[in-house]
Amino acid sequence: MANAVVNRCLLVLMLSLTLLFAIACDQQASGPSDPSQAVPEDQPTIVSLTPAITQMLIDMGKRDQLVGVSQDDDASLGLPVCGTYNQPVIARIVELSPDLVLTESPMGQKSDVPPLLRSIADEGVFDLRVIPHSRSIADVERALIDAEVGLGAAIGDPEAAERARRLMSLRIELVSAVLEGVDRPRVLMLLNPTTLGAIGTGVTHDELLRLAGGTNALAHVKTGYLTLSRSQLQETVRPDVVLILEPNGSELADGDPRLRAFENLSIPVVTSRRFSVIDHPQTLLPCTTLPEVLVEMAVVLHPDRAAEIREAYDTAELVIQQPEDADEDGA
Amino acid sequence: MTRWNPKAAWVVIIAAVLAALTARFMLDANGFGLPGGDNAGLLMSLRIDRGVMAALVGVTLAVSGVAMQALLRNPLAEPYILGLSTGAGLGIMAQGYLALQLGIAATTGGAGAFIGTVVTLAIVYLASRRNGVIDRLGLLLVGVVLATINGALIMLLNYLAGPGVLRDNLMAWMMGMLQVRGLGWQDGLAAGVCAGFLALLLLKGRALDIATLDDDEAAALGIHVGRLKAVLLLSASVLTATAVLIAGPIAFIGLIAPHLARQLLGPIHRPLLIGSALIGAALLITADVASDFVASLNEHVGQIPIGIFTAIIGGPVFLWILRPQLGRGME
Repeated sequence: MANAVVNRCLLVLMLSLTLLFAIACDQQASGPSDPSQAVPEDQPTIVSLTPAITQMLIDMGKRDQLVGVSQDDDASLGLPVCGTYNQPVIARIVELSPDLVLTESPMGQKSDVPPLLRSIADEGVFDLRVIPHSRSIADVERALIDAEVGLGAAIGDPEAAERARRLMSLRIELVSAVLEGVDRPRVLMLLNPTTLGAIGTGVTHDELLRLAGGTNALAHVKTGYLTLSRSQLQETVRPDVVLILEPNGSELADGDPRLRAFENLSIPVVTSRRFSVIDHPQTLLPCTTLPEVLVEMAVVLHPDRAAEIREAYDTAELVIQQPEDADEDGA
Repeated sequence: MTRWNPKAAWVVIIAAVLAALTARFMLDANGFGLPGGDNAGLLMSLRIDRGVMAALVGVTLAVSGVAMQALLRNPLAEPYILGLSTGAGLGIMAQGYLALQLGIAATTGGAGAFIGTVVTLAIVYLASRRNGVIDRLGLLLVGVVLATINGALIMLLNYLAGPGVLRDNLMAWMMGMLQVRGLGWQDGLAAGVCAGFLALLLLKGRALDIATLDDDEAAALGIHVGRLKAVLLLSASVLTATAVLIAGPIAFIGLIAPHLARQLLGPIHRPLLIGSALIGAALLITADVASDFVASLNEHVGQIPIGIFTAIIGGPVFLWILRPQLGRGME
C-alpha cells in the first residue's frame, strides 16, 4: 500500500521534472547571439545587472550598447540573461566580454558586489561600476548625473545622462504643475492587495503620489513598506482611492479576487469603487520612467485633467528639443 | 547488508566522482566544450573553482550527515533538523538589517551566519542535555522548535526591512549558491576543518560501529557514550555550519550520500565515511553541472540556484531510496 503511494508520488515527480525540462528546452528561442555586432566600435559594450539601470540606459539612447541584461529585465529585449545583481551568471558575463558591467547597491559601493564579479573586474576583464540604488526622484537624478557614481560618468557620456535627467525632471515638473491646487484624495498604494502589503512614506512612490495630486492615506506611518489589517483599513486608513501597483497587471473586474480584503468594509473607496491598477511595466522601478508612472497615477486620481496631464507630459520633450534645434539652426 | 562487492562499489564511487568532475570541466552556463577566446583561461578557472567548491560542500554535508545519523541512530536524521540553517539565515538577516539601520554597506553576511549557527548550536546542545547526557528525542524536538523560532524571527526582520536588497540577498542565499565567489582563504580553512573532522570521525570509526548498539551495551564494550555523542554533535554542527557558510542551505546531500554509501559499502563507519564523502562530492558537482546545463540550453534565462536543484533531484532520489523501508511500521 505504502509502496503504491510512493510509486505514484515518484511518477508525479518524474513527470514534473520532465515537464520542467521540456519548458526549459522550449524556451530555447535562438542560437548564441553575437551582440557585439551591432555596437559601434568606439562605444563600450555593457552588461546591466538590474532592470532600473537597463531602463535608464535605454532612455539615454544606449540600447545598442547593451549585450547582456538581468534576469528581471523585460524578456522582449532579446538579450542574454546574466543573472541578477546578487546572483550573476559569471561565466556568461565573461563569455560576453563586455567592456562595462553595471550593477546597483544601496550605497553605491563596490564592496557590496558579489566578490567573484569584483575580483574578475579587478583583473581587468571588464570595468565594473556600481550605481547607487534610488529611493527618491533626487536619487534617480543622482544615479544619472553624479560625477563619480552616476551612469553618465560610468559609460563616458555625461551629456546623454544629463539629457535624460532634464527630460525626466521637466516631465515631472510640468505634470505636477497641472495638478497644483486640486483636491487631494486619500490614496492607499498597495504592492500586494491580497496581503494588504502597502506603501508608506519616505519612498519614491510616496513622492510620486504627492506630485500626482494625492495624499498618502498612510502619511502618518514612519516606514516605507508595511502590511495592513482589515481593521486598520476600516478604522484609520479609510482611503478614497486604492492604487494597486502591479507591473503588467490585468484590469480589475467585478468580483476580482484582488479586492477580497475590501469586502464588507464601510469605507469611502468601497462606496465609490475607485480601485485602479497602475500597470506600467516599470511601475516599481526607480528610474527614468517615473514620469510615465506619475502620469498614469495622476490620470487615475484626476480623470477630469487627463488631457492636460498628457499634454504637459508631451510638452516636456518639445521644450527640451527647442533649444537643441535652435543650437543647430545657429550653427 | 552490503549488496555490492566492495571493490566494485569503490570502482563505481570513484567513477562517479571522475565523471562528475569531467562534466564540470567540460560544461558551464555558456554550453558544452572547452572554453575558447581571450578569456578561455579565466572561464576554465571558473569551472575548476566551482568544481572544487561543490566538492568541498558535498563532502562536508555528507560527512555531517553520517555523524548526525550515528548520533541519533536514525538513518533519516539530517543536520538541518537541528535548525542550524535557519540559524545561519537569521544571522545573515540580522547582520543585513543592522547594516541597513546604521546606513553602512551591507556585506555577504558571513559573520552573521557563523554567529547564528553557533548560537543555535549552543542552545540546542544546552537545552537537550539531561544530567550531562544528550537526550536524542530532546535534541530533535529542540532543533525543530529552534528552526521554527528562527524562521519566525527571519520573517519578522523581513517584514521590518521591507522590499529591497536585504530581502533579495536573503532569498538568494536561502536558495543556495556557489557561483558568486571564487576560491578564497575561507575555502582553505573550510577544507582544513572538514579534513580535521573527517579524520576525527575515522579515528572514532570503531566506536561509532559499537555505538549503533544500545547505550548500555556500548558502554559495556568500553565506549564512553556521552563523550562520543558530544564529538558527533560537534562534528555534525561545525561541518554543517561550514557548508552553510560557503553555499547556503543545501538540502538532501547529507541524507542521500550516506544512504547511497550504505547501499554500496555497508554500515561499517570507516568505509561509510569515505564513501559518503566521495558520493557527496559527486552529487553536488552533478547538481551544479545540471544547473549550468539548464542555463546553457537557453541564454535568455539565468541559472537555477543549486539548492533548488539538489532539492528537485534529491527529493525523488531520497523517496526511491526510502521505498523498501516504507510500510514497515504497518507490518
